[in-house]
Amino acid sequence: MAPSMPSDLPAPDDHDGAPSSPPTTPPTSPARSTPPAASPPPPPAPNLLKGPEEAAQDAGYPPDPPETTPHRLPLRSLLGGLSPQAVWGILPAAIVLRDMAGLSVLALVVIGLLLVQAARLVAWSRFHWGFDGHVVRISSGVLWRRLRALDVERIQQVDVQRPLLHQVMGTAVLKVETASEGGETEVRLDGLDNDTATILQAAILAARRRERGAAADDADAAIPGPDDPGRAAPGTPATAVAGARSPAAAHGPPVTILRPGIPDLVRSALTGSSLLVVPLSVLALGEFAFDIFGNDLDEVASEAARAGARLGYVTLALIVLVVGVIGAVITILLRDWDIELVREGDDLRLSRGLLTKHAATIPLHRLQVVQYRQNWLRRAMGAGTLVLRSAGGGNPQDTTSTVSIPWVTQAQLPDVLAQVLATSVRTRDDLPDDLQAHPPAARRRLVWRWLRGLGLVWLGALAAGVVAGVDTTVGWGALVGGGLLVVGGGAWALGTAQYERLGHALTPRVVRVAGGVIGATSDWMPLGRLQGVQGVANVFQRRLDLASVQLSPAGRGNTPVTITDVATDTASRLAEDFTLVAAGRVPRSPVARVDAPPSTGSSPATA
Amino acid sequence: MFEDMPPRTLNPNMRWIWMVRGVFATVVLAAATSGAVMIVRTATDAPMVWWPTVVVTVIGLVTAVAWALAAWPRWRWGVTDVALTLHHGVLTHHVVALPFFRIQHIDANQGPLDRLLGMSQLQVHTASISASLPGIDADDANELRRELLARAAKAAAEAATDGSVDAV
Repeated sequence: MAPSMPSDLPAPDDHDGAPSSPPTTPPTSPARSTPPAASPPPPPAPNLLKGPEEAAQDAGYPPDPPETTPHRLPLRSLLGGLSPQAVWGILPAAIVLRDMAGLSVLALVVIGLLLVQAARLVAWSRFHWGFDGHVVRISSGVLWRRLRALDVERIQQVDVQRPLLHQVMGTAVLKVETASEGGETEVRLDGLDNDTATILQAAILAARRRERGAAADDADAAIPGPDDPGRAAPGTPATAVAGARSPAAAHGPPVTILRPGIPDLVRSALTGSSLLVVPLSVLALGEFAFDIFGNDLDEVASEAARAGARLGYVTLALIVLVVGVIGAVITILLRDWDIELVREGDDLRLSRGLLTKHAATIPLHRLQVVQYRQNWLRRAMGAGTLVLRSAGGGNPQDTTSTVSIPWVTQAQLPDVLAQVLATSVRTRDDLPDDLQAHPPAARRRLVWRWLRGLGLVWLGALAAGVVAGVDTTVGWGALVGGGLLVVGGGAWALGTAQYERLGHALTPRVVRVAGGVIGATSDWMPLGRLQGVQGVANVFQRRLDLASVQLSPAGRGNTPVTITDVATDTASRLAEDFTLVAAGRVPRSPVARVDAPPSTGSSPATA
Repeated sequence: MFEDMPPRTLNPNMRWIWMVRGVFATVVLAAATSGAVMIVRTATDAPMVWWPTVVVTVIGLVTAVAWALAAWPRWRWGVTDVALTLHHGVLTHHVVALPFFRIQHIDANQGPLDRLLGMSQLQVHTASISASLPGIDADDANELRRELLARAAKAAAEAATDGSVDAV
């Protein structure tokens, strides 16, 4: 069964053939979802409620194909789901089961297996696929039905695989992937005819080339082919990607951005969590020893304690400390030996490692968030760790999504940022530096949150003390009063310290969000990578007229960059401007700043 | 953005779906409570008591109904010329803007209850977040899905990027 391949596909220009009529008023509710009488009457509808063909033509989108066009997978595709081992194992398993549990149990198991196969058959009969030259459509599900449509423009990769069993049956697995958040294959046609799979793959790739049109020819390097899936973004005008690449940089010599020396790595080892490596290893070793010695461990431990007593506990602590430090240094040196961050054209390359060399490449235009983290010790020393988060390659096997450089001084930071954010800033002067303070209500919320956290711990300790019948020498009254004082004072100090760190800065192209309590953290996000915007205001925030804005970068596991606790109207303004940027419409005026008067030019998002 | 609620509401039948889900959750919770009470009472050789189960059931049912009734008027959605916006949340208000330019694909899902009540649910995927728009009339869901996809295609073609904006 070969898919119908339409030969009269509309040219890419057809998309803009119809006059666009952006809705200046929101659409109305359909009759069956009429809001209650108290709701405001809905304004007139745009093309949402027009006839399907009419609406589709307005937007340059082909109407859904008739219901008769979808194809089923060949019936033998059901065999593809069986594992050969299971098939070979059925007979021996049946004999063993009959001997051990009797015929009735065997019959039940057989009926169960048949039911499973019947369910697979029903699922197969409900699974349909189709491709009309623009859109790959899948409808599936028996009880929970799902209709999925992938626009060829958004398709990143089309793979055809032929596992052994499929080769025997003359079938193949066709996988279609987009850049969606889940990371899993969006469409998986398991058991297509070999020929159909090949034709369909070619047709989808050809349609994608067509849709991307002449611009694709001009910027061929920017268009992902099957062997270069992550090169350009789906749906991105090829010119935009090409524009993002600076010609000078594309052909220039490699530029070393960072190359921390051995003293830097040692400093990083002595100030970071790697100090815990050896103590944790000792703990793990203890567990291992318990497994080996079992009950004899007590004897071994008391022998060790006696040895420790002979040596003196201070000496012992010193030995543990020295071993811990040496362990941390060795760990860092093994991992980060000869670490170097280089910019080669539009790629960042990080290489490191003593025994095993690791190399990671991040295309500049896939870099989503740059984070600079300082704990209090590193902050005092004027240095921190730089973390680069990317969306990974378009390929699911490409797991390089986060790389970190352990020691970057504050003095180096602006130049480093200017290099890694080169698609968004020209020089270090373009970086957002002017951190805006958040409203004082944010401090109240932070202090309250610390009060809640510390208070719970204190109450827990108090309750445990009462239950255990601890004999206090100062009396419970003094204990409660003192505790209140410590908790209150601690919460005020920590909340205030956190408030002092809180801030954000904006340019039209990059947003910086700062936070931390004793240490400090800053995130820089190129706004060109912004995928979606969320505003959140819980009950407590609303009482203080606060809200948070979450900016979602692309890629699995990339947590949103959150501007926490700004005034509600500021949050609204920011969210609207960010939405415009994420929508590919870079606003003419810079993105709104905190405490700036409301922008006079109303953004289309508010229309 | 927080103040201006989009105009469109969900199908009123959505309240029934939320209530049914709440009732299911209550049944599970009540069964778990009964089990826990039974284990404790058996261990202490005390006769079984049912009042914890009754309390949990009553609280669960009241919460399920109240939540469904409170959640429906808070759920609004609309389309601007650049994005699909969703407002929802009873205690915590959420506002989600999914620019058409960023939409990767859209699924239309229908569970058994959805089919019974003539509704469908759209799942809008971007390269970063996916948002669910439930309670759409089944008759309109396909059309809405196509229109959103159409706008996504149009936005990708028209995006006035200045070279610093990538779809991913």
